[in-house]
Amino acid sequence: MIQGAAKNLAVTRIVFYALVLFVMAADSYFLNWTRVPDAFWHPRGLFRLLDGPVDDAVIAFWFYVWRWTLPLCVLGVFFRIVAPLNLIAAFVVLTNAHSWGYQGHVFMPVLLACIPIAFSRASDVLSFDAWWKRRRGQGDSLLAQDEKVYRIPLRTMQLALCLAYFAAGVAKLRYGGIEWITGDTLRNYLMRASLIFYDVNRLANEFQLNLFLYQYPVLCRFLAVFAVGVELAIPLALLSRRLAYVLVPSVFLLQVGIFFTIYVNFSAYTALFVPWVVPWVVPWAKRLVGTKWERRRH
Amino acid sequence: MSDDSIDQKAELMSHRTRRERGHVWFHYVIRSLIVLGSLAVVVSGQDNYFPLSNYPMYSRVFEPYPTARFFSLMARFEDGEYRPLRAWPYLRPFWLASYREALLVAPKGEVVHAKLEATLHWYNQQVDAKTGVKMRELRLFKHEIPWNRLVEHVSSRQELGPLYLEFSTLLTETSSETSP
Repeated sequence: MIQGAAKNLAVTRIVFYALVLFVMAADSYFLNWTRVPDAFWHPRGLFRLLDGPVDDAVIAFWFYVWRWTLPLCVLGVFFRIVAPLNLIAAFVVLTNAHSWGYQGHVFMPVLLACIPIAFSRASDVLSFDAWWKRRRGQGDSLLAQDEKVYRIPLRTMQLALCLAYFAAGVAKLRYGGIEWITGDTLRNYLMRASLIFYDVNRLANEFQLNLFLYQYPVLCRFLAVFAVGVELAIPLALLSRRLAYVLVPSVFLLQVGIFFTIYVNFSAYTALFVPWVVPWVVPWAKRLVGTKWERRRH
Repeated sequence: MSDDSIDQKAELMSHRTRRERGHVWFHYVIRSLIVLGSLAVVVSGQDNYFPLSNYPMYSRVFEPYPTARFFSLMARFEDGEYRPLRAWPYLRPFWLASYREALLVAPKGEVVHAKLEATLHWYNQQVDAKTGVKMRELRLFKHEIPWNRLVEHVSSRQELGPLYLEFSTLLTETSSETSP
């Protein structure tokens, strides 16, 4: 059991940090915020405590720390030191990117999910650290005795996804009320996407699924009910595995739908699905590999 | 095995248990902070405490009849062309919608004007670096367009330019000749 829990967390570490690296840190999007003129400075979060913009060289330094510590986190190299350092760098770089007047919501829950894993023992197996310890004859003390050591960080990461969607659902009812579902709000947002996002997400612009859906007001209302329903129900996935099997893929579908109809690119959110999917896939993959191995032996 | 080594092992085990218990508690604290922080911003309706948010985007009822309000930016270039501003490649990391949001986040006249001026300089600096046509003027317009006319245009994939022009009000403008 402990071995399984440790593996789940370790596989989550590998896939999660790899996705953060490729989806968020591989290109220079976050570095490019150093080019924006000071007139746009509009600090958020902890940066509100600052007198003015942070020096470009400082942001560039933290950006490269963030980028280059991500592969180390994937491989589990000195993870207990490197992962918190990576978290600090991510905080600085992402807070800076959100301090120039544009407040995107795509990266927030990913950063929240980085907190529990950065302080976890996700490198106890399947890592350079574990290999190194075994080589030095310290293999006995590799695994924790308490399964919670591995399960709690994973659960907190799962929670980051639930909190983001739940908050979005509550906001719709709070600011829009029941009219958000019963009226043409979603339908009009679909139309608006073609007007304001025509210079982004070429793939979604190519299909223009939003203009197709706009022709069917009843279908749009059904989709509005589905969206708000799934967003409000997602915390239930934490309580029941069966509900999680339904709700988490539904949220994923919702996100894909948003990409093709509202043109908002939430590719960073894929990292948030990792702590959900890994505990489902790893035991299944293990069983599959085990059965094949057994068959070969016989 | 001697009594000493058994004692040593037992002590080591209890030390590990204590350490693990502390680790688990530390993670409970992290979880509590994330949950309480997230709920606090949801309850207070705040969206200014990065990375916590109440995710208010798309939450307002959007019933735009009879008119929908949009903002657009038009630029005049040194080659005499007058066309809508494009954020890429010179205003990276912005794209047009995020640039507009950043421009109007504090919608005071002088602040917006200062940002337009800064944009003009920034754009021309980038053009210098990458060779292109410099911008001479930048204008911010507000458009209040009948929704049915907009839908008609978008659905039939007609050019939106003439429609924007018909229902436009100039809010502010800046020029490379007048700005410092």
